[in-house]
Amino acid sequence: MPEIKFIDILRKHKLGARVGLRTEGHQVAPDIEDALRRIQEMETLIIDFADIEVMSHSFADETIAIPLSRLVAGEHGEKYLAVRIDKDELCVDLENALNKRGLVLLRLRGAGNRHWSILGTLSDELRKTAELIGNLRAVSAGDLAPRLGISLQACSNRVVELGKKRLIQRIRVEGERGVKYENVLATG
Amino acid sequence: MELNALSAEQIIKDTCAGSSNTIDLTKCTFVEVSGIIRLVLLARHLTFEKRSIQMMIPQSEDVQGYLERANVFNELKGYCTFNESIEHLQHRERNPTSTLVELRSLDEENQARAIIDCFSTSLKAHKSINSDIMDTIDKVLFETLQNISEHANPGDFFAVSHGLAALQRYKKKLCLSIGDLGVGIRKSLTSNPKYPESRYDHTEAIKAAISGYSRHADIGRGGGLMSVVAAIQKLDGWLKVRSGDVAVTIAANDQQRVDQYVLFPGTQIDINVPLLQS
Repeated sequence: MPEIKFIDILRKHKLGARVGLRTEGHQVAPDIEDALRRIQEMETLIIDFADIEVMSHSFADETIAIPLSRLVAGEHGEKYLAVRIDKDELCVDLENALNKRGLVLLRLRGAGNRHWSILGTLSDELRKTAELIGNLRAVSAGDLAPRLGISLQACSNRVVELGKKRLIQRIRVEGERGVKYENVLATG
Repeated sequence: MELNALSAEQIIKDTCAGSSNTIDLTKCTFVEVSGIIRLVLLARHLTFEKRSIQMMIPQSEDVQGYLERANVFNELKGYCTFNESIEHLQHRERNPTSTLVELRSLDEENQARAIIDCFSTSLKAHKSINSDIMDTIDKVLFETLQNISEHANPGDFFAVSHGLAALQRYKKKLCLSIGDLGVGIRKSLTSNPKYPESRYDHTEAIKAAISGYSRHADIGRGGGLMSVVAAIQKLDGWLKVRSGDVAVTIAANDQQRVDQYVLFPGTQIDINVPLLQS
């Protein structure tokens, strides 16, 4: 799974671990968009926030929330974005920036892709569904519905909604019939 | 007399609403950064109003020294006369102090980064300033200083907003004040037709700004001041946002108090964060 270090992008712009002004974020944002452009369809770009000490609301909005809103609008095709952030404090303003735009994002903690959570506001139903899909690999709506205790139609509606938010993706498993769903961090 | 936000409001009232052309600081025994930010902004504002202001400087040599160290006389240069010479103060070598970051001017956004770095460097050395406070002050400065150039004079790229910032660390608290002479929060907010002047007086405009409303049509904008409030509250601090003819004080427990003052241009923000005893 392609992964970039946020600090490397900041250093390229002569910025340090403490960012920043909205105008500085505006200068950095094209690099994030470029990185999204370079990944393959169905891939998830992970932005690693290691070594970042401070990030303001405005900077988070310019560099993560706005590029994500373009991604969700389909400007980059069928691609996904996630962040790797160990420091909880960095998530506060990022989450507020996501909430203002009605966005959600997967957050990884530590090495690997096992420990994840969802940043941003999501209804309890959608959160529960996203978490269940994340804990199961490649699950169909038919398998999900009874586990959630809802009808197949209601389950289908939820997975469509989560797909639009770029939290899950539709896949086809070789040798198996029908469409399945998995967390965007599951592949690769 | 102490020169703080409250006493400065009385001086603003006497000079702006009244006819006094004298700012009398002779009996001043203590100065806070919130007071000096308002004092400098007031002198500049009155000059633009074609008023000739005389400032009676404090009799206390300690206070004179503090004002000099805080760069106040330098920032007042050309905006008022003094009742006695201040030259001897300016020839005196400034004793560097790590508790005060003197008045810094900000008229263009590219000056903001230098001011933030300077404030950070000053705070870094102290045991009573933990990383939570450091990080919060940086975030507060990012959001408030960029607002000066962005909102102080929206649409007028050549306007000078007279942005100022100063910081004072005491044993038990940290005080940060930021101010400008721009158009203020109400005029900035109501430039968006979604927020008409008829519904947004100065109080409502400030309350809207700290709740995430913005003049920008982009729904994602406007969270800056809201994030400042949340960050300061998390440190059990409070802040006061003064714009137009009111000041809204937001306490750590989210209680708000509105104080009515005389009309004054721009926006002034005072932040107070308690420090743990080291």
